[in-house]
Formats: sequence, structure tokens, C-alpha cells
Amino acid sequence: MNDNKWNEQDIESLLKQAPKIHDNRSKEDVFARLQADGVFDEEPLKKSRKKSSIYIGGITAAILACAIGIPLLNSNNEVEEQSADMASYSTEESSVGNRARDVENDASHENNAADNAMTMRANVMPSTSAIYANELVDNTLFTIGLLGDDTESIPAAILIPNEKILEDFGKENPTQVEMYNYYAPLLDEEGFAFNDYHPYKGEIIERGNTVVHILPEGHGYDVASGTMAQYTGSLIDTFKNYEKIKYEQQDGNPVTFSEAGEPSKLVKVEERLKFNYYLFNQRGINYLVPQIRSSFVDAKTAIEAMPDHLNDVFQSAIIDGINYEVEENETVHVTFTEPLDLASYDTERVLHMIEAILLTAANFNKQVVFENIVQTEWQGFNFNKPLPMPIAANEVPIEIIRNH
Amino acid sequence: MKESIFHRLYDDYHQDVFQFLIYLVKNRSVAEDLSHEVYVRVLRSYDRFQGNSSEKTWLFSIAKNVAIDYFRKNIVRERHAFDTFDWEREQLVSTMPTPEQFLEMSEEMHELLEALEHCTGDQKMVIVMRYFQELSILETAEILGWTEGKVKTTQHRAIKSLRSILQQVGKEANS
Repeated sequence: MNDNKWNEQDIESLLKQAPKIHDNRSKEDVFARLQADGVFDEEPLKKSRKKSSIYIGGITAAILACAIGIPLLNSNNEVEEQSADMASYSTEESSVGNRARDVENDASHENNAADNAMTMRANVMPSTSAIYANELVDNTLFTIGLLGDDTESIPAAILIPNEKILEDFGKENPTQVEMYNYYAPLLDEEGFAFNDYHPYKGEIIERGNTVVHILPEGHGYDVASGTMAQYTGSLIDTFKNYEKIKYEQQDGNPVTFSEAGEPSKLVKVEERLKFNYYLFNQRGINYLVPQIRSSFVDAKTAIEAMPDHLNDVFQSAIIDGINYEVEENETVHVTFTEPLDLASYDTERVLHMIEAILLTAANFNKQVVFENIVQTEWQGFNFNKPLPMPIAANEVPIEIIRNH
Repeated sequence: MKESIFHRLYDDYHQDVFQFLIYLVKNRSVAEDLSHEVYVRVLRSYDRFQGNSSEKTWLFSIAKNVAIDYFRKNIVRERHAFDTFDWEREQLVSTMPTPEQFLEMSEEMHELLEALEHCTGDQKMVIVMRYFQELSILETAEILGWTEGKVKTTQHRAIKSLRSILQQVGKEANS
């Protein structure tokens, strides 16, 4: 297989072909070892009742083989078994822990092992969450504002294979409104840990570069300031490539939202996209989201404001202790105050920081050049030149579309 | 009583659990040790199994915990710190010599499994469960204590990570 032609289908197909690996030991051998450890005894198993020479031998050989040293493990700092998530079974101390103590002095080369481990951690490859233009070669972008638990809208996007677009629409390049009206009823939002929100009540149509939401009576989007913010945020995230959004009643007149008390005006979408990005955890998954959709005048001020966050719902995407200065001309230059060694930090955390800055600058149609980073290349980013501008944040799997 | 439980669990699940462990730790001897530990924990606590989940997902959740404990202890030893191991964000890397079955695999499979070592722990765990063990999304979610949505999203991100790693490796090999 050509290395540059790996695609997701190839990978999934190959994963499904992974060979079955069997335990070559007989059932009697497995049983005998448990029996030797007293597992079948009637009385409760005592800690360190019998050492398993086979176990120790296996662990020791393996540890020696990879030159991993074992510093002293004492009972004070023994790690507790993390089994609380299954309340129905025991949380007694692990016999692995006992055995680890048994072999505590069996190996050396501790520092080498630590170095190796650091190198491997530096190579960790969490997925990027943003979408870049080169991913549109075989795909069409569908943006959607999804509803999280504590935020108004999570700007998300789905890459839909062009083949599927042709099947679904009979043409290439359907408009975002066409895609919305087709895919929104099929979204399995709750299945992907979002709140059920789409499709919008009423009708979504387009007139040139304006999206028109024709709202029914009693739509309820304006019952509170929070629901109104969710609604408008979601509309902007979904139709971010349109110039304007208009709210109409079914008779064609402008909608009067109870929050405002006067006929609604056209929303100029671009003006509402001048925000910066923060980390938000939605049921275990991190997303990059606007905090309160504060509007900034330029990329410089937006990026400079990123270390600040209002409350615990949002976390700054900028890692604590990392400082930088921002200059803006045709591109945005972010210069870290101290040389930034990316290998010193959790890779996923660094990736979130970089992409949050890239996405923020992209809201002002600017590319970013990072300066004073130790690495010249990292995770596909080349820091010697302006980084590519992401076209959307927070890719979610196409499987969120039912019967995709 | 315990013996009969062992025989039934062995007949129903032993090879599945063993494969799950060996794909995580990539060492036959360690996988044997860890599968032994799984039986120790299961048989100790079987009378407390309340049937809140299926026996299969309960067994795999214990196997998962045993494997994470193993990785945690190795990382903890390297770092001299006991409070920093987050298995979902760390790698679950085994530096062990690969078992003989891995050496017999095709070049593509070998590259793919090597790339899997560079994924985060949550991604590796989901790939092993979903593709190698053929567990359903619901079963995987129950074992990991996650929502089904988190399983789906993590699976998606894992595939994307694998693609990115493999493409990068390909570029480096061709340069």
C-alpha cells in the first residue's frame, strides 16, 4: 500500500482483518496456576499469600527486555485500583501491586527507560479537531451548531464524502441550506452526547446570500435569554458562510422576539464570528467553542484575550504559564515569551492551544506564524511558515447522520 | 463453586480476554500474567456481581482495569509520581518485544499496529475493543463507563489519528 494513500476506509478495513491471537496454554495450566495462588481456597485470599514465580519471571523478563527499571514501590504510595466505575465488584488491592513490590529491585537503567517513555509520549498523536482545506478534496463541508449542556452552541462540522453528496442531492456542491434541510432531521445528536436540538422549528430557506428562518407561532426560542442565545449561536455556527440571517413570520413580516420587544433585524453573520476560542468539555469530549461570543476588533486583541476565562464552564485553551505577544499585519505573529518546547506538554493540550489560536485568527481571515517554538515541525505543522487556516472547528463523525 | 465459575468463564471468554490483553500489552508473557490477574479479581468478587451489566462487559471491564493498572504502574515507576497517570490522555505503549504473531503480519498490518501505539490511551482502547474484539458501541461504552457518543467520537478520532500517523510515516520514509 502506498503510504500516502492511507485513507479511513483502508484503515478500518485493515483493522477488521487483524489476526486472532490465542493463548497457547491449556485450560489445565491456567487453572493450575490459579490453584497454586490459592484462588479456589475457601478462606479469603491473603495478600502475598504465595508468590507466583511464573508471574514474577514473566514480568521480570519483560521488564528487563525493555530496560525499564523499577524504583521502590512502598505501601504508602501504592496506586489504588481504579475500579470504582464497576461498583458491583471488588476493589481489593490488586495482586499485581503485590507482585510489583516483589520485583522492585529486579532491573536497572531507570533513566534510560524514562527517556524512552518521554520520547514516546512526545510522539503521541491525538487527532486534530479542526478541519483544513486539504480535507475537502474528496469531501464536502457541512457546518452545524450543536447544543452542549452548558454552552449556547458548539460550532461543529461534518465532512461528507462527495460520493454521498451526489447520491443524496444528485449534484455536487449543494448549498448549506440544502444540506441542512436534508441532514438535520437525520442527526443523532443525543447518540453523540449532544442535546437534541435540530432541525429547527419552522422552515429554513435561502434568498441569495441570506438565510431566512420562517418561524411558527409559539416557537419558544425566545422564552429566555439563554434559549435565545442558544438559538442565534446555533444559527450562526450552522450558516456561517452566509452574509445574513433573517427571521420571518409565516406571513413574511419580521419576527418580534419577546426578549427584544421589537421587530428583529437582519443578522450580519460575519460580525458575529469575531470571537476567540476556549476549551469546553461536553460529556467527556473536549471542543473548542466561543465563550460568550464576545466580538473583538481584530485577531490581535482576540488572541491576546484568550488566557482569560469567565468561569469554570470554559477553560482557556492557552496552557497555564505560557505567555506570548501578538503582532498583526497580513498575518498574525504569535511570539512565545520563552522558548516553547512542545514535547514538554501533553500533546493533545498543545494541539488544542495551537488550533484555538489558528481558529481565532481564521475568524479574522488571517493565518498565523508562531515564533520561538523549539520544534520546527510538529504533528504536521511547519512552524517555519504561516500555518494553514482551518476552515471549521470540531469535526464530528459522519456517523452522527443516521443511515449515512 | 469458584471452580465451576472458572470453567464456564474460561470456556466462554478466555480467548477473547487474552486477545484483548495481548493487543494492549503486545507481550505474551505479560498477557498471560494479566489474564491470571483478571481471574483472581473476578473469582474474588463474583459473588458481588449484581448483574447490572452483562457478564461479558463486567469481565472486560475488569480486564480493562487490570491492563490500565499495568500501564499505570510502569509509567508511575518511570515518573516517580503517583498522581499523574490519566490513561485516556496518555499513550498505553508497550515497549515489549512483539509476540511471534505480530512478526508474521503483513507490512501494512505491522505499520498499522505500530501507529496504534502512538494514539492516546482512549483511542487505542476503543480500537482494540471495537475492531479486534468486535464489541458493540453499547458494550464498549459499558466497559469503559462512557456514553455511547463518547465511544463513537473517540473511535472517529482514533481512525483520523491513525491516518495522520501513517501518512506522516509514509512521508518520512519517502523523503
